[in-house]
Amino acid sequence: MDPTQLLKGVLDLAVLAVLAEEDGYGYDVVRRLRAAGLEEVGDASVYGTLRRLFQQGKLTSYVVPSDEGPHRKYYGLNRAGYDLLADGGKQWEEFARSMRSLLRKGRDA
Amino acid sequence: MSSSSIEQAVRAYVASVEQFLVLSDADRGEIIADLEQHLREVSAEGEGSLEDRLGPPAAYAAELLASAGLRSEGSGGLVEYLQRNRFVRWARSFVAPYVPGWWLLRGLLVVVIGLELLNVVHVHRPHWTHHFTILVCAWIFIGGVLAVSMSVRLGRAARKHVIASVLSALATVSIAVLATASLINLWGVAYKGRLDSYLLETSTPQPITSAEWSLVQRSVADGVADAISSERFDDVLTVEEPYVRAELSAQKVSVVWSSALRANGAFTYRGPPVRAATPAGDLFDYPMIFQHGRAHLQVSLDSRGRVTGLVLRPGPPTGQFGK
Repeated sequence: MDPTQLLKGVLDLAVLAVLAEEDGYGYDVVRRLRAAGLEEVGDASVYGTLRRLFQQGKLTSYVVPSDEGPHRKYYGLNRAGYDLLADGGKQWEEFARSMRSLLRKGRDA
Repeated sequence: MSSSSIEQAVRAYVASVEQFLVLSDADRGEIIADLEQHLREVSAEGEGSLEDRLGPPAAYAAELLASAGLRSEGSGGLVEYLQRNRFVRWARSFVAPYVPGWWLLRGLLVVVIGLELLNVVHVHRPHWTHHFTILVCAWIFIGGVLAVSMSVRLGRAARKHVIASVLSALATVSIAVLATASLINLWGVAYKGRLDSYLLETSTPQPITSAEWSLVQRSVADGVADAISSERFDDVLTVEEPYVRAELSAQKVSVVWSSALRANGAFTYRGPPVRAATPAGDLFDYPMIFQHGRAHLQVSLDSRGRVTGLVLRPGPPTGQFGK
């Protein structure tokens, strides 16, 4: 099964979860998602997701100047973002529970 | 990798990605500026070219559009074709640096069109001349500053907001239409001028009749007499020869009229003239009635209707110049 297809449905949730842990800039979020096991995640997908969530009012954003490299645009969760993460988390848990049950029955058959 | 080479690599990759972003100008401008920032972060933290790390620009653009929810259902067709077309893209990139110049020009065009509208009103109300001079100067200054400022603000906002983008496009189209109409109007005026000249040159001159000329002479003489009796001395001689103007200056006429008023009291009535032919033209001799006496004003005109002499003497009209 192509993992990128699975990622499409849960990328918002994954990005929100990473940012709930700690604010981060675009490439930092990509790296943390990959480190968490989502190795197939694409830079463009994460960047596009961050833009969309920000424009939907789920994230805050601020720029951190740097003397050594480029300025970094950090994203963090606001109240709406935490709410979305909580709702999405519950839905994911129910979905995963249903899938586990389905797969167990399939295996046992 | 040095900062300049990072910048170069980022710009090259973003330019390639931009080719595949089928978006409105406002959306594309915003996402490109933001993407450059993001790719600088990516470049600063890894090895290899951006294309090796992020994949082909076309795939990156498609992934970005899909995840950002920017690809609208309606995009495609002619708009997409035009945005992807190589010539259109070259033309856009060629024009792009001059766009701020167009914003300035657009503001100035508004002022020019406004001036033309004022000119139309002015033509119908020529006695507003002095007020119009002030009005036009004020309009050039205030209108110019406002129009250019608003045009630039609208142009900058159009890069970020769809509504401003639509307003900017509407302003551009409206001004283009008005400017075209003005050019056509100017051409029409020029053409009409040539047409009038042509008609004047080719039409057979109609000689003025002696009766018509007599009325013209009378009208000129009446005008002079009325100007003196109403003490508009500057209006007595308006188009006369310099030597006549020197001899019959407003000051001299004023002195003579004042002495007549002192001798006869306030002026009350000007009667119809006695008309007489002279070797040089015509003489109009007007009875002038004052409160305590009477005088006669002689206006002498040459054969071309120009004032050649003025005499104010006591007594009734004689029809003989200087008597």
